[in-house]
Amino acid sequence: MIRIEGLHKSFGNHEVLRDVNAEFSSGKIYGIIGENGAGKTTLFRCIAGLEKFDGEIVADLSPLKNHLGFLMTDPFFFPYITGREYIRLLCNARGKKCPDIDSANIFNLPLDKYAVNYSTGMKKKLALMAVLAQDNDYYILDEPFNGIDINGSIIVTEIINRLRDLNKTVILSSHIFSTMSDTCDQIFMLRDGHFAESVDKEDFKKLEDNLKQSAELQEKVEALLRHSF
Amino acid sequence: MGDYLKLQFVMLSRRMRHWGLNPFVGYPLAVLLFVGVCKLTFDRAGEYAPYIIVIVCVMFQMMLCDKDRADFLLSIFGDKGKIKVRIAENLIVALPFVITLGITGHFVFLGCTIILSVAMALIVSRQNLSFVIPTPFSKRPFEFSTGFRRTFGYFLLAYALTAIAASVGNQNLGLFSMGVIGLLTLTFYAKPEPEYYVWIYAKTPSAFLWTKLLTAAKNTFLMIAPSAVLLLVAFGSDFRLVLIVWILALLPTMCGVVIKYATFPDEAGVVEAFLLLGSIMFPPLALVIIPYYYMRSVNQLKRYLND
Repeated sequence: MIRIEGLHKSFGNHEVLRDVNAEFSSGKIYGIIGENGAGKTTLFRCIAGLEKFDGEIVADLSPLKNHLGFLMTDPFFFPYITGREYIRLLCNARGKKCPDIDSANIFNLPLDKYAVNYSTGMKKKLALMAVLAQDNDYYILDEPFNGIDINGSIIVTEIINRLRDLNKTVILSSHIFSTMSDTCDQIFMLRDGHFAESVDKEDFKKLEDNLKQSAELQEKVEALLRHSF
Repeated sequence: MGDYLKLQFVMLSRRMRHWGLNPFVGYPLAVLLFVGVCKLTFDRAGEYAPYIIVIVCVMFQMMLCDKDRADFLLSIFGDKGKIKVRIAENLIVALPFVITLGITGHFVFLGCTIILSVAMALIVSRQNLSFVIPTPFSKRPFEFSTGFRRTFGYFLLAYALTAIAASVGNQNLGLFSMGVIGLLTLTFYAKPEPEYYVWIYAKTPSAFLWTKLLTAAKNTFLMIAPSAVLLLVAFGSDFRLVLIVWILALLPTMCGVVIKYATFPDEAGVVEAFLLLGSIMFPPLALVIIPYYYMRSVNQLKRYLND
Protein backbone atom coordinates (compact mmCIF):
# COMPACT_ATOMS: atom_id res chain seq x y z
CA MET A 1 0.00 0.00 0.00
CA ILE A 2 1.11 3.54 -0.81
CA ARG A 3 -0.83 6.50 0.63
CA ILE A 4 -0.46 10.08 -0.57
CA GLU A 5 -1.78 12.84 1.68
CA GLY A 6 -1.95 16.53 0.82
CA LEU A 7 0.89 16.44 -1.71
CA HIS A 8 1.99 19.82 -3.05
CA LYS A 9 4.83 20.40 -5.47
CA SER A 10 5.95 23.68 -7.05
CA PHE A 11 8.81 24.67 -9.34
CA GLY A 12 9.41 28.30 -8.40
CA ASN A 13 6.04 30.04 -8.61
CA HIS A 14 4.55 27.33 -10.79
CA GLU A 15 2.45 24.94 -8.74
CA VAL A 16 2.49 21.60 -10.55
CA LEU A 17 0.71 19.46 -7.96
CA ARG A 18 -1.72 20.73 -5.34
CA ASP A 19 -3.38 18.74 -2.62
CA VAL A 20 -3.03 15.34 -4.25
CA ASN A 21 -4.57 12.56 -2.16
CA ALA A 22 -4.77 8.87 -3.06
CA GLU A 23 -4.31 5.38 -1.75
CA PHE A 24 -2.83 2.58 -3.83
CA SER A 25 -3.46 -0.92 -2.47
CA SER A 26 -1.49 -4.11 -2.93
CA GLY A 27 -2.60 -6.44 -5.71
CA LYS A 28 -4.10 -3.63 -7.78
CA ILE A 29 -3.11 -1.74 -10.90
CA TYR A 30 -3.67 2.00 -10.98
CA GLY A 31 -3.56 4.24 -14.02
CA ILE A 32 -2.79 7.95 -14.01
CA ILE A 33 -3.99 9.89 -17.02
CA GLY A 34 -3.67 13.55 -17.87
CA GLU A 35 -2.61 15.84 -20.66
CA ASN A 36 1.08 16.44 -21.47
CA GLY A 37 2.49 18.56 -18.68
CA ALA A 38 -0.31 17.66 -16.24
CA GLY A 39 2.29 16.56 -13.68
CA LYS A 40 2.23 12.76 -14.00
CA THR A 41 6.00 12.37 -14.15
CA THR A 42 6.46 14.91 -11.35
CA LEU A 43 4.03 12.91 -9.21
CA PHE A 44 5.97 9.72 -9.95
CA ARG A 45 9.26 11.41 -9.06
CA CYS A 46 7.71 12.61 -5.78
CA ILE A 47 6.57 9.08 -4.91
CA ALA A 48 10.06 7.79 -5.75
CA GLY A 49 11.61 10.45 -3.52
CA LEU A 50 13.47 12.07 -6.41
CA GLU A 51 11.70 15.39 -5.80
CA LYS A 52 11.21 17.34 -2.60
CA PHE A 53 7.56 18.07 -1.86
CA ASP A 54 5.14 19.21 0.82
CA GLY A 55 2.72 16.64 2.20
CA GLU A 56 3.15 13.01 3.04
CA ILE A 57 3.73 9.77 1.18
CA VAL A 58 3.70 6.61 3.29
CA ALA A 59 3.98 2.93 2.43
CA ASP A 60 3.69 -0.27 4.40
CA LEU A 61 7.30 -1.07 3.49
CA SER A 62 9.81 1.55 4.49
CA PRO A 63 11.80 3.20 3.03
CA LEU A 64 9.49 3.09 0.03
CA LYS A 65 12.26 3.81 -2.50
CA ASN A 66 14.13 0.62 -1.57
CA HIS A 67 11.12 -1.47 -2.58
CA LEU A 68 10.12 0.53 -5.63
CA GLY A 69 10.86 -0.28 -9.25
CA PHE A 70 10.71 2.88 -11.31
CA LEU A 71 10.50 2.58 -15.08
CA MET A 72 11.17 6.06 -16.44
CA THR A 73 9.64 7.45 -19.65
CA ASP A 74 13.02 7.73 -21.35
CA PRO A 75 15.43 5.45 -19.52
CA PHE A 76 19.06 6.61 -19.73
CA PHE A 77 21.78 4.13 -20.66
CA PHE A 78 25.50 4.69 -20.33
CA PRO A 79 27.52 4.29 -23.50
CA TYR A 80 29.47 1.01 -23.42
CA ILE A 81 27.11 -0.79 -21.03
CA THR A 82 25.55 -4.00 -22.32
CA GLY A 83 21.95 -5.03 -21.65
CA ARG A 84 23.15 -7.81 -19.35
CA GLU A 85 25.35 -5.41 -17.36
CA TYR A 86 22.47 -2.95 -17.00
CA ILE A 87 20.29 -5.64 -15.42
CA ARG A 88 23.18 -6.66 -13.14
CA LEU A 89 23.72 -3.03 -12.12
CA LEU A 90 20.11 -2.63 -11.02
CA CYS A 91 20.13 -5.94 -9.12
CA ASN A 92 23.47 -5.19 -7.44
CA ALA A 93 22.18 -1.76 -6.39
CA ARG A 94 19.37 -3.41 -4.45
CA GLY A 95 21.63 -6.10 -3.05
CA LYS A 96 19.52 -8.68 -4.88
CA LYS A 97 20.87 -11.81 -6.48
CA CYS A 98 20.44 -11.49 -10.22
CA PRO A 99 18.03 -14.05 -11.72
CA ASP A 100 19.10 -16.21 -14.65
CA ILE A 101 19.09 -13.33 -17.12
CA ASP A 102 18.93 -15.48 -20.24
CA SER A 103 15.83 -17.38 -19.15
CA ALA A 104 14.23 -14.09 -18.04
CA ASN A 105 14.87 -12.57 -21.47
CA ILE A 106 11.21 -12.73 -22.47
CA PHE A 107 11.68 -10.06 -25.15
CA ASN A 108 14.64 -11.83 -26.81
CA LEU A 109 16.86 -8.78 -26.44
CA PRO A 110 20.51 -8.93 -27.61
CA LEU A 111 21.76 -8.65 -24.04
CA ASP A 112 25.45 -8.79 -24.90
CA LYS A 113 25.23 -5.75 -27.18
CA TYR A 114 25.54 -2.15 -26.01
CA ALA A 115 22.19 -0.86 -24.76
CA VAL A 116 22.66 2.57 -26.38
CA ASN A 117 22.41 0.87 -29.76
CA TYR A 118 18.97 -0.56 -28.94
CA SER A 119 15.83 0.93 -30.53
CA THR A 120 13.47 3.01 -28.34
CA GLY A 121 11.20 0.02 -27.76
CA MET A 122 14.10 -2.32 -26.96
CA LYS A 123 15.44 0.17 -24.43
CA LYS A 124 12.04 0.29 -22.76
CA LYS A 125 11.89 -3.51 -22.67
CA LEU A 126 15.38 -3.72 -21.16
CA ALA A 127 14.56 -1.13 -18.50
CA LEU A 128 11.35 -3.02 -17.66
CA MET A 129 13.23 -6.33 -17.44
CA ALA A 130 15.73 -4.74 -15.07
CA VAL A 131 13.14 -3.33 -12.64
CA LEU A 132 11.34 -6.68 -12.71
CA ALA A 133 14.62 -8.48 -11.96
CA GLN A 134 14.90 -6.37 -8.80
CA ASP A 135 11.77 -8.13 -7.48
CA ASN A 136 10.18 -4.99 -6.06
CA ASP A 137 6.93 -4.71 -4.13
CA TYR A 138 5.85 -1.47 -5.77
CA TYR A 139 6.16 -0.46 -9.39
CA ILE A 140 5.84 2.88 -11.13
CA LEU A 141 5.72 2.39 -14.89
CA ASP A 142 5.83 5.71 -16.71
CA GLU A 143 4.63 5.13 -20.26
CA PRO A 144 5.55 1.42 -20.33
CA PHE A 145 4.03 0.93 -23.81
CA ASN A 146 5.90 3.80 -25.46
CA GLY A 147 7.68 2.65 -28.62
CA ILE A 148 6.96 -1.02 -27.96
CA ASP A 149 5.78 -3.23 -30.84
CA ILE A 150 2.48 -5.15 -30.83
CA ASN A 151 3.96 -8.41 -29.54
CA GLY A 152 5.87 -6.52 -26.89
CA SER A 153 2.71 -4.66 -25.81
CA ILE A 154 0.89 -7.96 -25.36
CA ILE A 155 3.75 -9.26 -23.21
CA VAL A 156 3.88 -6.03 -21.15
CA THR A 157 0.10 -6.28 -20.56
CA GLU A 158 0.58 -9.88 -19.40
CA ILE A 159 3.42 -8.86 -17.08
CA ILE A 160 1.35 -6.10 -15.51
CA ASN A 161 -1.57 -8.47 -14.94
CA ARG A 162 0.82 -11.03 -13.44
CA LEU A 163 2.16 -8.39 -11.04
CA ARG A 164 -1.42 -8.00 -9.77
CA ASP A 165 -1.56 -11.77 -9.10
CA LEU A 166 1.71 -11.47 -7.19
CA ASN A 167 0.05 -8.88 -4.91
CA LYS A 168 2.29 -6.03 -6.10
CA THR A 169 1.19 -2.41 -6.23
CA VAL A 170 1.48 -0.98 -9.73
CA ILE A 171 0.98 2.63 -10.81
CA LEU A 172 1.28 3.37 -14.49
CA SER A 173 0.68 6.07 -17.01
CA SER A 174 -0.05 5.79 -20.68
CA HIS A 175 -1.41 7.97 -23.45
CA ILE A 176 -3.06 4.95 -25.07
CA PHE A 177 -6.40 4.48 -23.33
CA SER A 178 -6.86 0.84 -24.41
CA THR A 179 -3.63 -0.19 -22.64
CA MET A 180 -4.95 1.41 -19.45
CA SER A 181 -8.41 -0.15 -19.71
CA ASP A 182 -6.83 -3.58 -20.38
CA THR A 183 -4.71 -3.49 -17.24
CA CYS A 184 -5.95 -1.04 -14.62
CA ASP A 185 -8.38 -1.55 -11.75
CA GLN A 186 -8.77 2.16 -11.21
CA ILE A 187 -7.82 5.25 -13.21
CA PHE A 188 -7.05 8.66 -11.73
CA MET A 189 -7.46 11.73 -13.90
CA LEU A 190 -4.78 14.33 -13.12
CA ARG A 191 -6.04 17.78 -14.05
CA ASP A 192 -5.10 21.25 -12.75
CA GLY A 193 -2.54 19.72 -10.43
CA HIS A 194 -4.80 17.30 -8.59
CA PHE A 195 -6.83 14.13 -9.07
CA ALA A 196 -9.99 15.60 -10.59
CA GLU A 197 -11.59 12.21 -11.05
CA SER A 198 -11.14 8.60 -10.00
CA VAL A 199 -12.86 5.92 -12.06
CA ASP A 200 -13.30 2.20 -11.34
CA LYS A 201 -13.04 -0.49 -14.02
CA GLU A 202 -16.79 -0.74 -14.71
CA ASP A 203 -16.88 2.96 -15.68
CA PHE A 204 -13.84 3.00 -17.99
CA LYS A 205 -16.04 3.08 -21.12
CA LYS A 206 -17.89 6.10 -19.76
CA LEU A 207 -14.55 7.77 -18.98
CA GLU A 208 -13.29 7.16 -22.50
CA ASP A 209 -16.48 8.65 -23.97
CA ASN A 210 -16.16 11.66 -21.69
CA LEU A 211 -12.54 12.14 -22.72
CA LYS A 212 -13.50 12.09 -26.38
CA GLN A 213 -16.34 14.54 -25.76
CA SER A 214 -14.28 16.94 -23.68
CA ALA A 215 -11.60 16.95 -26.35
CA GLU A 216 -14.31 17.90 -28.89
CA LEU A 217 -12.64 15.29 -31.00
CA GLN A 218 -15.23 14.88 -33.73
CA GLU A 219 -15.45 18.61 -34.47
CA LYS A 220 -11.66 19.01 -34.50
CA VAL A 221 -11.12 16.04 -36.82
CA GLU A 222 -13.80 17.26 -39.19
CA ALA A 223 -12.31 20.76 -39.19
CA LEU A 224 -8.87 19.36 -39.91
CA LEU A 225 -10.10 17.22 -42.77
CA ARG A 226 -12.04 20.16 -44.26
CA HIS A 227 -8.84 22.25 -44.33
CA SER A 228 -6.63 19.45 -45.56
CA PHE A 229 -8.65 18.18 -48.47
CA MET B 1 33.76 27.68 -39.90
CA GLY B 2 34.99 30.82 -38.16
CA ASP B 3 31.62 31.31 -36.49
CA TYR B 4 31.61 27.70 -35.35
CA LEU B 5 35.06 28.01 -33.75
CA LYS B 6 34.06 31.34 -32.13
CA LEU B 7 31.00 29.58 -30.73
CA GLN B 8 33.23 26.86 -29.25
CA PHE B 9 35.28 29.58 -27.56
CA VAL B 10 32.11 31.21 -26.16
CA MET B 11 30.90 27.82 -24.89
CA LEU B 12 34.24 27.14 -23.20
CA SER B 13 34.10 30.55 -21.52
CA ARG B 14 30.54 29.84 -20.32
CA ARG B 15 31.72 26.54 -18.91
CA MET B 16 34.43 28.34 -16.96
CA ARG B 17 31.86 30.77 -15.56
CA HIS B 18 29.71 27.76 -14.59
CA TRP B 19 32.69 26.48 -12.60
CA GLY B 20 32.80 29.87 -10.85
CA LEU B 21 35.90 31.04 -12.73
CA ASN B 22 36.11 34.31 -14.64
CA PRO B 23 37.55 33.52 -18.12
CA PHE B 24 40.01 36.45 -17.74
CA VAL B 25 41.47 34.51 -14.83
CA GLY B 26 40.72 31.03 -16.21
CA TYR B 27 42.65 31.23 -19.47
CA PRO B 28 45.91 32.60 -17.97
CA LEU B 29 45.54 30.04 -15.19
CA ALA B 30 45.17 27.25 -17.74
CA VAL B 31 48.34 28.45 -19.51
CA LEU B 32 50.27 28.54 -16.22
CA LEU B 33 49.01 25.09 -15.34
CA PHE B 34 50.00 23.72 -18.74
CA VAL B 35 53.51 25.21 -18.47
CA GLY B 36 53.88 23.76 -14.95
CA VAL B 37 52.77 20.27 -15.99
CA CYS B 38 55.05 20.34 -19.07
CA LYS B 39 58.04 21.40 -16.95
CA LEU B 40 57.30 18.61 -14.49
CA THR B 41 57.06 16.11 -17.36
CA PHE B 42 60.43 17.15 -18.79
CA ASP B 43 62.02 17.12 -15.31
CA ARG B 44 60.68 13.66 -14.40
CA ALA B 45 60.60 11.77 -17.71
CA GLY B 46 63.75 13.24 -19.29
CA GLU B 47 64.33 11.96 -22.82
CA TYR B 48 60.86 10.31 -22.87
CA ALA B 49 59.05 13.59 -22.20
CA PRO B 50 58.45 14.44 -25.89
CA TYR B 51 56.83 11.02 -26.41
CA ILE B 52 54.53 11.74 -23.48
CA ILE B 53 53.72 15.23 -24.83
CA VAL B 54 52.71 13.76 -28.19
CA ILE B 55 50.64 10.99 -26.56
CA VAL B 56 48.81 13.43 -24.26
CA CYS B 57 48.10 15.70 -27.24
CA VAL B 58 46.61 12.77 -29.16
CA MET B 59 44.57 11.80 -26.10
CA PHE B 60 43.00 15.28 -26.01
CA GLN B 61 42.30 15.13 -29.73
CA MET B 62 40.65 11.73 -29.34
CA MET B 63 38.02 13.41 -27.13
CA LEU B 64 36.81 15.29 -30.21
CA CYS B 65 36.37 12.15 -32.28
CA ASP B 66 33.07 10.71 -31.11
CA LYS B 67 30.47 9.60 -33.61
CA ASP B 68 27.66 11.98 -32.59
CA ARG B 69 29.98 14.95 -32.95
CA ALA B 70 31.18 13.78 -36.34
CA ASP B 71 27.56 13.32 -37.49
CA PHE B 72 26.65 16.78 -36.22
CA LEU B 73 29.55 18.42 -38.08
CA LEU B 74 28.70 16.46 -41.21
CA SER B 75 25.08 17.64 -41.10
CA ILE B 76 26.14 21.28 -40.78
CA PHE B 77 29.28 21.59 -42.91
CA GLY B 78 29.06 18.66 -45.31
CA ASP B 79 31.87 16.19 -45.92
CA LYS B 80 34.67 18.59 -46.92
CA GLY B 81 33.63 21.25 -44.40
CA LYS B 82 33.61 18.68 -41.61
CA ILE B 83 37.19 17.65 -42.36
CA LYS B 84 38.31 21.30 -42.44
CA VAL B 85 36.68 21.93 -39.05
CA ARG B 86 38.19 18.77 -37.58
CA ILE B 87 41.67 19.69 -38.84
CA ALA B 88 41.29 23.23 -37.43
CA GLU B 89 40.11 21.87 -34.07
CA ASN B 90 42.95 19.37 -33.85
CA LEU B 91 45.54 22.02 -34.73
CA ILE B 92 44.12 24.39 -32.09
CA VAL B 93 44.34 21.61 -29.50
CA ALA B 94 47.87 20.76 -30.70
CA LEU B 95 49.07 24.39 -30.58
CA PRO B 96 50.29 24.49 -26.94
CA PHE B 97 51.94 21.08 -27.35
CA VAL B 98 53.61 22.16 -30.60
CA ILE B 99 54.91 25.37 -28.96
CA THR B 100 56.31 23.31 -26.07
CA LEU B 101 58.07 20.90 -28.42
CA GLY B 102 59.40 23.84 -30.46
CA ILE B 103 60.77 25.69 -27.43
CA THR B 104 62.48 22.53 -26.16
CA GLY B 105 63.97 21.88 -29.59
CA HIS B 106 62.17 18.61 -30.37
CA PHE B 107 61.39 19.47 -33.98
CA VAL B 108 60.89 15.90 -35.19
CA PHE B 109 58.22 15.39 -32.51
CA LEU B 110 56.75 18.76 -33.44
CA GLY B 111 56.39 17.64 -37.03
CA CYS B 112 54.91 14.31 -35.94
CA THR B 113 52.34 16.10 -33.77
CA ILE B 114 51.17 18.25 -36.69
CA ILE B 115 51.01 15.27 -39.06
CA LEU B 116 49.10 13.22 -36.46
CA SER B 117 46.68 16.11 -35.84
CA VAL B 118 45.80 16.29 -39.53
CA ALA B 119 45.75 12.51 -39.94
CA MET B 120 43.41 12.02 -36.98
CA ALA B 121 40.94 14.51 -38.44
CA LEU B 122 40.94 12.50 -41.65
CA ILE B 123 41.05 8.98 -40.32
CA VAL B 124 39.56 8.79 -36.85
CA SER B 125 36.00 9.97 -37.15
CA ARG B 126 33.95 7.39 -35.31
CA GLN B 127 34.17 5.08 -32.37
CA ASN B 128 33.13 1.51 -32.91
CA LEU B 129 30.11 0.96 -30.70
CA SER B 130 29.14 -2.30 -32.34
CA PHE B 131 32.06 -4.41 -31.13
CA VAL B 132 31.70 -5.18 -27.43
CA ILE B 133 35.11 -5.10 -25.73
CA PRO B 134 35.34 -7.82 -23.05
CA THR B 135 36.02 -6.42 -19.61
CA PRO B 136 36.94 -8.06 -16.30
CA PHE B 137 34.53 -5.64 -14.57
CA SER B 138 31.33 -6.87 -16.22
CA LYS B 139 29.99 -8.49 -13.00
CA ARG B 140 30.00 -5.19 -11.07
CA PRO B 141 29.03 -2.41 -13.50
CA PHE B 142 29.19 0.48 -14.22
CA GLU B 143 32.18 2.83 -13.77
CA PHE B 144 34.94 0.37 -14.57
CA SER B 145 33.09 -1.72 -17.15
CA THR B 146 32.15 1.36 -19.21
CA GLY B 147 35.33 3.33 -18.44
CA PHE B 148 37.58 0.42 -19.36
CA ARG B 149 35.90 0.09 -22.76
CA ARG B 150 35.95 3.85 -23.38
CA THR B 151 39.68 4.15 -22.63
CA PHE B 152 40.81 0.70 -23.72
CA GLY B 153 43.32 2.05 -26.25
CA TYR B 154 44.92 4.34 -23.67
CA PHE B 155 45.45 1.42 -21.31
CA LEU B 156 47.24 -0.45 -24.07
CA LEU B 157 49.45 2.62 -24.61
CA ALA B 158 50.21 2.85 -20.90
CA TYR B 159 51.13 -0.84 -20.72
CA ALA B 160 53.30 -0.42 -23.82
CA LEU B 161 55.06 2.47 -22.06
CA THR B 162 55.75 0.18 -19.08
CA ALA B 163 57.16 -2.46 -21.41
CA ILE B 164 59.43 0.14 -23.06
CA ALA B 165 60.52 1.35 -19.61
CA ALA B 166 61.39 -2.20 -18.57
CA SER B 167 63.23 -2.96 -21.80
CA VAL B 168 65.36 0.21 -21.71
CA GLY B 169 65.90 0.07 -17.95
CA ASN B 170 64.19 3.40 -17.19
CA GLN B 171 62.34 2.90 -13.93
CA ASN B 172 61.06 6.50 -13.79
CA LEU B 173 59.27 6.03 -17.08
CA GLY B 174 57.73 2.83 -15.73
CA LEU B 175 56.54 4.57 -12.58
CA PHE B 176 55.12 7.34 -14.75
CA SER B 177 53.14 4.77 -16.77
CA MET B 178 51.66 3.46 -13.50
CA GLY B 179 50.59 7.02 -12.69
CA VAL B 180 49.01 7.35 -16.13
CA ILE B 181 46.87 4.28 -15.41
CA GLY B 182 45.77 5.86 -12.13
CA LEU B 183 44.82 9.01 -14.05
CA LEU B 184 42.84 6.98 -16.57
CA THR B 185 40.75 5.39 -13.82
CA LEU B 186 40.23 8.86 -12.33
CA THR B 187 38.49 9.87 -15.57
CA PHE B 188 35.84 7.18 -14.87
CA TYR B 189 34.57 9.45 -12.10
CA ALA B 190 34.84 12.74 -13.98
CA LYS B 191 31.14 13.18 -14.77
CA PRO B 192 28.21 12.68 -12.44
CA GLU B 193 25.74 9.98 -13.51
CA PRO B 194 21.99 10.74 -13.77
CA GLU B 195 20.25 10.83 -10.37
CA TYR B 196 18.44 7.56 -11.12
CA TYR B 197 21.74 5.63 -10.90
CA VAL B 198 22.24 6.77 -7.31
CA TRP B 199 18.58 6.54 -6.35
CA ILE B 200 18.41 2.82 -7.27
CA TYR B 201 20.76 1.88 -4.42
CA ALA B 202 19.16 0.43 -1.30
CA LYS B 203 22.06 1.65 0.84
CA THR B 204 22.74 4.43 3.31
CA PRO B 205 24.91 7.28 1.96
CA SER B 206 27.95 6.06 3.89
CA ALA B 207 27.49 2.42 2.79
CA PHE B 208 27.05 3.63 -0.80
CA LEU B 209 30.25 5.69 -0.62
CA TRP B 210 32.24 2.87 0.94
CA THR B 211 31.13 0.55 -1.84
CA LYS B 212 32.15 3.11 -4.45
CA LEU B 213 35.50 3.83 -2.75
CA LEU B 214 36.39 0.16 -2.33
CA THR B 215 35.44 -0.59 -5.94
CA ALA B 216 37.55 2.34 -7.17
CA ALA B 217 40.56 1.34 -5.06
CA LYS B 218 40.35 -2.40 -5.81
CA ASN B 219 39.85 -2.01 -9.55
CA THR B 220 42.50 0.72 -9.94
CA PHE B 221 44.88 -1.58 -8.07
CA LEU B 222 44.06 -4.37 -10.52
CA MET B 223 44.45 -2.12 -13.58
CA ILE B 224 47.91 -1.02 -12.39
CA ALA B 225 48.90 -4.60 -11.48
CA PRO B 226 50.27 -5.67 -14.91
CA SER B 227 52.59 -2.63 -15.04
CA ALA B 228 53.57 -2.94 -11.39
CA VAL B 229 54.37 -6.64 -11.66
CA LEU B 230 56.44 -6.08 -14.79
CA LEU B 231 58.41 -3.33 -13.03
CA LEU B 232 58.86 -5.49 -9.92
CA VAL B 233 60.36 -8.18 -12.14
CA ALA B 234 62.50 -5.71 -14.10
CA PHE B 235 63.64 -3.59 -11.16
CA GLY B 236 63.44 -6.12 -8.32
CA SER B 237 65.95 -4.33 -6.10
CA ASP B 238 63.82 -1.16 -6.04
CA PHE B 239 60.56 -2.96 -5.23
CA ARG B 240 59.65 -0.54 -2.41
CA LEU B 241 59.38 2.38 -4.81
CA VAL B 242 57.11 0.41 -7.16
CA LEU B 243 54.87 -0.62 -4.25
CA ILE B 244 54.67 2.96 -2.95
CA VAL B 245 53.68 4.33 -6.37
CA TRP B 246 51.18 1.47 -6.75
CA ILE B 247 49.42 2.56 -3.55
CA LEU B 248 49.75 6.32 -4.18
CA ALA B 249 48.26 5.95 -7.67
CA LEU B 250 44.97 4.79 -6.08
CA LEU B 251 44.49 8.03 -4.16
CA PRO B 252 43.51 10.48 -6.95
CA THR B 253 40.75 8.09 -8.12
CA MET B 254 39.47 7.79 -4.55
CA CYS B 255 39.49 11.60 -4.33
CA GLY B 256 37.55 11.65 -7.61
CA VAL B 257 34.84 9.45 -6.04
CA VAL B 258 34.22 11.59 -2.96
CA ILE B 259 34.46 14.86 -4.88
CA LYS B 260 31.95 13.64 -7.48
CA TYR B 261 29.32 12.85 -4.87
CA ALA B 262 30.06 15.95 -2.76
CA THR B 263 28.84 18.11 -5.64
CA PHE B 264 26.28 15.62 -7.00
CA PRO B 265 24.25 16.00 -9.24
CA ASP B 266 26.30 18.98 -10.45
CA GLU B 267 29.78 18.68 -11.91
CA ALA B 268 32.71 19.46 -9.63
CA GLY B 269 33.71 23.13 -9.48
CA VAL B 270 37.06 24.79 -10.05
CA VAL B 271 38.13 24.44 -6.39
CA GLU B 272 37.58 20.69 -6.56
CA ALA B 273 39.43 20.53 -9.90
CA PHE B 274 42.45 22.18 -8.30
CA LEU B 275 42.28 19.89 -5.29
CA LEU B 276 42.20 16.89 -7.62
CA LEU B 277 45.22 18.27 -9.43
CA GLY B 278 46.87 18.75 -6.06
CA SER B 279 46.21 15.11 -5.18
CA ILE B 280 47.84 14.06 -8.46
CA MET B 281 50.93 16.25 -7.92
CA PHE B 282 51.14 15.53 -4.20
CA PRO B 283 49.20 12.31 -3.38
CA PRO B 284 49.39 12.65 0.45
CA LEU B 285 47.00 15.63 0.05
CA ALA B 286 44.38 12.95 -0.60
CA LEU B 287 44.50 12.02 3.08
CA VAL B 288 42.87 15.41 3.80
CA ILE B 289 40.64 15.54 0.72
CA ILE B 290 39.09 12.09 1.13
CA PRO B 291 37.74 12.47 4.70
CA TYR B 292 36.59 16.08 4.14
CA TYR B 293 34.75 15.36 0.90
CA TYR B 294 33.49 12.06 2.24
CA MET B 295 31.56 13.96 4.91
CA ARG B 296 30.23 16.41 2.35
CA SER B 297 29.23 13.54 0.06
CA VAL B 298 27.29 11.83 2.85
CA ASN B 299 25.27 15.03 3.36
CA GLN B 300 24.71 15.52 -0.34
CA LEU B 301 23.56 11.94 -0.90
CA LYS B 302 20.94 12.10 1.87
CA ARG B 303 18.65 13.60 -0.76
CA TYR B 304 18.72 10.35 -2.74
CA LEU B 305 19.52 7.63 -0.22
CA ASN B 306 17.88 6.91 3.11
CA ASP B 307 20.04 7.20 6.18
